[in-house]
Amino acid sequence: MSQLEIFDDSAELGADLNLLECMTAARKAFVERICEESASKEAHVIEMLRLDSAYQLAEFMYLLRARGIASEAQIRLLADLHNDYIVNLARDEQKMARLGLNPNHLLDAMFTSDTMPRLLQHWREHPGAIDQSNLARFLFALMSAETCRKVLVACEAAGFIRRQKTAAGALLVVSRGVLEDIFGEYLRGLRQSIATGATP
Amino acid sequence: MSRHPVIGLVLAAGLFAAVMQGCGAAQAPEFTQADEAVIANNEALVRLRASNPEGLRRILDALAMARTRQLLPRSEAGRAATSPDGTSPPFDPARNPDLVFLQRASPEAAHDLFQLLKQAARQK
Repeated sequence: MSQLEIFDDSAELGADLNLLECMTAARKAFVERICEESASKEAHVIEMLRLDSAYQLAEFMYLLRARGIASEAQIRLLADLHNDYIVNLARDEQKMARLGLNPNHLLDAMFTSDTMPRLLQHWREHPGAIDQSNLARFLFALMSAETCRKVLVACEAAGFIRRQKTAAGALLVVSRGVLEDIFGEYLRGLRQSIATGATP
Repeated sequence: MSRHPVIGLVLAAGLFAAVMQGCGAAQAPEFTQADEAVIANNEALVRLRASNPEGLRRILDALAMARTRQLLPRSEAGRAATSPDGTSPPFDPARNPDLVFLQRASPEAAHDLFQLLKQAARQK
Protein backbone atom coordinates (compact mmCIF):
# COMPACT_ATOMS: atom_id res chain seq x y z
CA MET A 1 0.00 0.00 0.00
CA SER A 2 1.38 3.38 -0.90
CA GLN A 3 1.57 6.22 1.56
CA LEU A 4 -1.06 8.09 -0.45
CA GLU A 5 -3.59 5.32 0.10
CA ILE A 6 -2.87 5.38 3.80
CA PHE A 7 -3.74 9.04 3.98
CA ASP A 8 -6.57 9.10 1.42
CA ASP A 9 -9.44 7.63 3.41
CA SER A 10 -10.37 10.13 6.08
CA ALA A 11 -12.53 7.66 8.03
CA GLU A 12 -9.72 5.10 8.19
CA LEU A 13 -7.24 7.81 9.03
CA GLY A 14 -9.47 9.05 11.82
CA ALA A 15 -9.68 5.55 13.25
CA ASP A 16 -5.88 5.22 13.04
CA LEU A 17 -5.42 8.49 14.86
CA ASN A 18 -7.92 7.44 17.47
CA LEU A 19 -5.96 4.26 18.06
CA LEU A 20 -2.73 6.20 18.33
CA GLU A 21 -4.30 8.59 20.81
CA CYS A 22 -5.51 5.66 22.90
CA MET A 23 -2.05 4.10 22.90
CA THR A 24 -0.15 7.25 23.80
CA ALA A 25 -2.69 8.24 26.45
CA ALA A 26 -2.58 4.78 28.01
CA ARG A 27 1.21 4.79 28.15
CA LYS A 28 1.16 8.26 29.69
CA ALA A 29 -1.43 7.14 32.24
CA PHE A 30 0.69 4.10 33.10
CA VAL A 31 3.71 6.23 33.92
CA GLU A 32 1.61 8.69 35.91
CA ARG A 33 0.03 5.86 37.86
CA ILE A 34 3.27 4.18 38.93
CA CYS A 35 4.62 7.56 39.98
CA GLU A 36 1.44 8.27 41.97
CA GLU A 37 1.57 4.86 43.63
CA SER A 38 5.22 5.23 44.55
CA ALA A 39 5.75 5.52 48.28
CA SER A 40 8.81 7.62 47.54
CA LYS A 41 8.55 10.90 45.70
CA GLU A 42 12.30 11.42 45.61
CA ALA A 43 13.37 12.78 42.24
CA HIS A 44 15.86 9.98 41.59
CA VAL A 45 13.20 7.34 42.28
CA ILE A 46 10.57 8.97 40.08
CA GLU A 47 13.20 9.45 37.38
CA MET A 48 13.85 5.71 37.28
CA LEU A 49 10.16 4.78 37.40
CA ARG A 50 9.54 6.91 34.32
CA LEU A 51 12.11 5.02 32.24
CA ASP A 52 11.11 2.48 29.61
CA SER A 53 13.05 -0.08 31.64
CA ALA A 54 10.53 0.22 34.49
CA TYR A 55 7.72 -0.38 32.01
CA GLN A 56 9.56 -3.46 30.70
CA LEU A 57 10.06 -4.82 34.20
CA ALA A 58 6.35 -4.29 34.93
CA GLU A 59 5.46 -6.07 31.69
CA PHE A 60 7.66 -9.04 32.56
CA MET A 61 6.18 -9.36 36.04
CA TYR A 62 2.67 -8.96 34.68
CA LEU A 63 3.29 -11.71 32.11
CA LEU A 64 4.62 -14.11 34.74
CA ARG A 65 1.39 -13.66 36.67
CA ALA A 66 -1.02 -13.41 33.74
CA ARG A 67 0.45 -16.49 32.08
CA GLY A 68 0.15 -18.36 35.34
CA ILE A 69 3.83 -19.24 35.51
CA ALA A 70 3.89 -20.51 39.05
CA SER A 71 5.26 -24.04 39.18
CA GLU A 72 8.90 -25.03 39.40
CA ALA A 73 8.50 -26.95 36.13
CA GLN A 74 7.34 -23.79 34.39
CA ILE A 75 10.18 -21.60 35.61
CA ARG A 76 12.62 -24.35 34.68
CA LEU A 77 11.11 -24.51 31.21
CA LEU A 78 11.28 -20.73 30.91
CA ALA A 79 14.97 -20.81 31.85
CA ASP A 80 15.62 -23.63 29.36
CA LEU A 81 13.81 -21.71 26.62
CA HIS A 82 15.83 -18.64 27.57
CA ASN A 83 19.08 -20.60 27.21
CA ASP A 84 17.95 -22.00 23.83
CA TYR A 85 17.12 -18.46 22.74
CA ILE A 86 20.62 -17.34 23.66
CA VAL A 87 22.22 -20.23 21.77
CA ASN A 88 20.23 -19.31 18.66
CA LEU A 89 21.05 -15.65 19.13
CA ALA A 90 24.75 -16.46 19.28
CA ARG A 91 24.43 -18.00 15.83
CA ASP A 92 22.73 -14.92 14.41
CA GLU A 93 25.25 -12.10 14.38
CA GLN A 94 22.91 -9.70 12.61
CA LYS A 95 20.23 -10.09 15.22
CA MET A 96 22.79 -9.79 17.98
CA ALA A 97 23.86 -6.48 16.47
CA ARG A 98 20.23 -5.37 16.09
CA LEU A 99 19.67 -5.95 19.78
CA GLY A 100 22.91 -4.18 20.71
CA LEU A 101 24.40 -7.30 22.26
CA ASN A 102 27.77 -9.00 22.05
CA PRO A 103 28.87 -12.56 22.93
CA ASN A 104 29.84 -11.54 26.45
CA HIS A 105 26.29 -10.38 27.15
CA LEU A 106 25.00 -13.73 25.96
CA LEU A 107 27.41 -15.68 28.14
CA ASP A 108 26.51 -13.62 31.20
CA ALA A 109 22.80 -14.15 30.57
CA MET A 110 22.92 -17.95 30.36
CA PHE A 111 21.52 -20.00 33.21
CA THR A 112 24.38 -22.28 34.16
CA SER A 113 24.87 -25.21 36.49
CA ASP A 114 25.52 -22.60 39.19
CA THR A 115 22.68 -20.20 38.58
CA MET A 116 19.92 -22.56 37.48
CA PRO A 117 19.69 -24.44 40.83
CA ARG A 118 19.56 -21.09 42.62
CA LEU A 119 16.71 -19.93 40.41
CA LEU A 120 14.74 -23.10 41.08
CA GLN A 121 15.48 -23.18 44.79
CA HIS A 122 14.31 -19.61 45.28
CA TRP A 123 11.19 -20.23 43.23
CA ARG A 124 10.44 -23.37 45.25
CA GLU A 125 10.91 -21.65 48.60
CA HIS A 126 9.26 -18.36 47.63
CA PRO A 127 6.97 -18.86 44.61
CA GLY A 128 7.29 -15.91 42.26
CA ALA A 129 10.59 -14.76 43.76
CA ILE A 130 13.68 -14.44 41.58
CA ASP A 131 17.05 -13.26 42.73
CA GLN A 132 18.23 -10.02 41.25
CA SER A 133 20.98 -11.52 39.09
CA ASN A 134 18.66 -14.10 37.58
CA LEU A 135 15.96 -11.51 36.95
CA ALA A 136 18.55 -9.48 35.06
CA ARG A 137 19.34 -12.62 33.04
CA PHE A 138 15.73 -12.95 31.91
CA LEU A 139 15.71 -9.27 30.92
CA PHE A 140 19.18 -9.18 29.37
CA ALA A 141 17.98 -8.33 25.85
CA LEU A 142 15.92 -5.42 27.13
CA MET A 143 18.26 -3.75 29.57
CA SER A 144 21.69 -4.09 31.12
CA ALA A 145 22.10 -5.79 34.48
CA GLU A 146 23.00 -2.41 35.96
CA THR A 147 19.86 -0.77 34.59
CA CYS A 148 17.84 -3.67 35.95
CA ARG A 149 19.43 -3.19 39.36
CA LYS A 150 18.71 0.54 39.36
CA VAL A 151 15.08 0.02 38.38
CA LEU A 152 14.70 -2.60 41.12
CA VAL A 153 16.23 -0.24 43.69
CA ALA A 154 13.72 2.42 42.62
CA CYS A 155 10.87 -0.10 42.74
CA GLU A 156 11.89 -1.08 46.25
CA ALA A 157 11.88 2.57 47.31
CA ALA A 158 8.49 2.91 45.65
CA GLY A 159 7.17 -0.02 47.68
CA PHE A 160 6.50 -2.18 44.63
CA ILE A 161 8.93 -4.96 45.54
CA ARG A 162 10.94 -6.27 48.46
CA ARG A 163 14.62 -7.10 48.05
CA GLN A 164 15.76 -9.45 50.76
CA LYS A 165 19.19 -10.92 51.18
CA THR A 166 19.37 -14.70 51.36
CA ALA A 167 21.74 -16.68 53.55
CA ALA A 168 23.84 -17.32 50.45
CA GLY A 169 24.13 -13.58 49.84
CA ALA A 170 21.78 -13.36 46.88
CA LEU A 171 19.27 -10.51 46.66
CA LEU A 172 15.83 -12.02 46.34
CA VAL A 173 13.27 -9.88 44.53
CA VAL A 174 9.75 -10.42 45.82
CA SER A 175 6.92 -8.56 44.15
CA ARG A 176 4.15 -6.97 46.19
CA GLY A 177 1.88 -7.19 43.14
CA VAL A 178 1.55 -3.45 42.58
CA LEU A 179 3.42 -3.30 39.28
CA GLU A 180 1.45 -6.24 37.91
CA ASP A 181 -1.84 -4.63 38.93
CA ILE A 182 -0.96 -1.29 37.37
CA PHE A 183 0.24 -2.92 34.18
CA GLY A 184 -2.94 -5.02 34.02
CA GLU A 185 -5.13 -1.97 34.49
CA TYR A 186 -3.18 -0.12 31.83
CA LEU A 187 -3.65 -2.97 29.37
CA ARG A 188 -7.33 -3.47 30.18
CA GLY A 189 -8.01 0.26 29.89
CA LEU A 190 -6.20 0.45 26.57
CA ARG A 191 -8.10 -2.52 25.17
CA GLN A 192 -11.44 -1.14 26.29
CA SER A 193 -10.77 2.33 24.96
CA ILE A 194 -9.82 0.86 21.59
CA ALA A 195 -12.89 -1.39 21.57
CA THR A 196 -15.29 1.42 22.36
CA GLY A 197 -13.50 3.96 20.23
CA ALA A 198 -13.56 6.36 23.14
CA THR A 199 -10.70 8.80 23.08
CA PRO A 200 -9.19 9.51 26.49
CA MET B 1 13.89 2.25 16.53
CA SER B 2 17.36 2.61 15.04
CA ARG B 3 19.90 -0.05 15.88
CA HIS B 4 22.22 2.48 17.35
CA PRO B 5 20.32 5.58 18.37
CA VAL B 6 23.35 7.47 19.62
CA ILE B 7 25.18 7.02 16.36
CA GLY B 8 22.00 7.91 14.52
CA LEU B 9 21.59 11.05 16.54
CA VAL B 10 25.17 12.06 15.91
CA LEU B 11 24.82 11.45 12.19
CA ALA B 12 21.53 13.35 12.07
CA ALA B 13 23.07 16.28 13.87
CA GLY B 14 26.05 16.13 11.56
CA LEU B 15 23.83 16.17 8.49
CA PHE B 16 21.90 19.13 9.81
CA ALA B 17 25.06 21.07 10.52
CA ALA B 18 26.48 20.22 7.10
CA VAL B 19 23.38 21.65 5.46
CA MET B 20 23.63 24.77 7.57
CA GLN B 21 27.27 25.20 6.61
CA GLY B 22 26.35 24.82 2.98
CA CYS B 23 23.90 27.68 3.37
CA GLY B 24 26.59 29.79 4.91
CA ALA B 25 24.51 30.17 8.07
CA ALA B 26 26.74 28.39 10.55
CA GLN B 27 28.75 30.26 13.14
CA ALA B 28 31.43 28.79 15.37
CA PRO B 29 29.54 27.49 18.40
CA GLU B 30 30.57 28.38 21.91
CA PHE B 31 30.86 25.92 24.74
CA THR B 32 30.51 26.75 28.41
CA GLN B 33 32.55 25.16 31.16
CA ALA B 34 29.62 22.85 31.90
CA ASP B 35 29.55 21.87 28.22
CA GLU B 36 33.26 21.17 28.30
CA ALA B 37 32.80 18.85 31.27
CA VAL B 38 30.10 16.88 29.48
CA ILE B 39 32.18 16.70 26.29
CA ALA B 40 35.25 15.50 28.17
CA ASN B 41 33.14 12.85 29.85
CA ASN B 42 31.78 11.37 26.63
CA GLU B 43 34.06 9.92 23.99
CA ALA B 44 31.53 10.25 21.17
CA LEU B 45 31.15 13.96 21.87
CA VAL B 46 34.92 14.49 21.87
CA ARG B 47 35.06 12.92 18.40
CA LEU B 48 32.11 14.94 17.21
CA ARG B 49 33.68 18.20 18.34
CA ALA B 50 36.52 17.79 15.90
CA SER B 51 34.32 17.00 12.94
CA ASN B 52 31.08 18.79 13.65
CA PRO B 53 31.01 21.39 16.43
CA GLU B 54 27.63 22.74 15.31
CA GLY B 55 26.05 19.33 15.60
CA LEU B 56 27.69 18.94 18.99
CA ARG B 57 26.17 22.24 20.11
CA ARG B 58 22.69 21.02 19.23
CA ILE B 59 23.17 17.73 21.05
CA LEU B 60 24.39 19.52 24.17
CA ASP B 61 21.35 21.80 24.04
CA ALA B 62 19.05 18.81 23.74
CA LEU B 63 20.78 17.07 26.64
CA ALA B 64 20.55 20.17 28.80
CA MET B 65 16.85 20.58 28.03
CA ALA B 66 16.11 16.95 28.82
CA ARG B 67 18.09 17.11 32.04
CA THR B 68 16.26 20.25 33.07
CA ARG B 69 13.06 18.26 32.79
CA GLN B 70 14.65 15.55 34.95
CA LEU B 71 14.20 12.89 32.34
CA LEU B 72 17.73 11.58 32.26
CA PRO B 73 19.79 9.50 34.62
CA ARG B 74 23.07 11.27 35.27
CA SER B 75 25.09 8.14 34.80
CA GLU B 76 24.31 4.59 34.05
CA ALA B 77 26.26 1.61 32.89
CA GLY B 78 24.80 -0.06 29.87
CA ARG B 79 25.62 -2.31 27.00
CA ALA B 80 28.14 -1.69 24.30
CA ALA B 81 27.06 -1.70 20.69
CA THR B 82 29.10 -1.82 17.56
CA SER B 83 28.35 0.49 14.67
CA PRO B 84 26.13 -1.00 11.96
CA ASP B 85 28.80 -0.91 9.29
CA GLY B 86 31.79 -1.41 11.55
CA THR B 87 33.41 1.81 10.31
CA SER B 88 33.20 3.74 13.56
CA PRO B 89 34.32 2.71 17.03
CA PRO B 90 31.78 0.76 19.08
CA PHE B 91 29.62 2.78 21.43
CA ASP B 92 31.05 2.30 24.89
CA PRO B 93 28.59 3.26 27.67
CA ALA B 94 31.41 3.57 30.18
CA ARG B 95 33.01 6.23 28.01
CA ASN B 96 29.72 7.97 27.14
CA PRO B 97 27.78 8.10 30.39
CA ASP B 98 25.57 11.03 29.37
CA LEU B 99 24.40 9.30 26.21
CA VAL B 100 23.50 5.89 27.60
CA PHE B 101 19.85 6.83 28.00
CA LEU B 102 19.58 6.90 24.23
CA GLN B 103 20.30 3.17 24.07
CA ARG B 104 16.72 1.93 23.89
CA ALA B 105 15.52 -1.61 24.21
CA SER B 106 14.48 -3.34 21.06
CA PRO B 107 10.78 -4.10 20.37
CA GLU B 108 12.10 -7.29 18.80
CA ALA B 109 13.62 -8.36 22.11
CA ALA B 110 10.39 -7.55 23.95
CA HIS B 111 8.42 -9.66 21.50
CA ASP B 112 10.90 -12.53 21.84
CA LEU B 113 10.55 -12.49 25.61
CA PHE B 114 6.76 -12.43 25.28
CA GLN B 115 6.94 -15.57 23.14
CA LEU B 116 9.22 -17.37 25.63
CA LEU B 117 6.77 -16.68 28.45
CA LYS B 118 3.90 -17.84 26.27
CA GLN B 119 5.68 -21.13 25.59
CA ALA B 120 6.60 -21.64 29.24
CA ALA B 121 2.96 -21.11 30.25
CA ARG B 122 1.94 -24.18 28.22
CA GLN B 123 3.74 -26.38 30.75
CA LYS B 124 1.47 -27.25 33.67
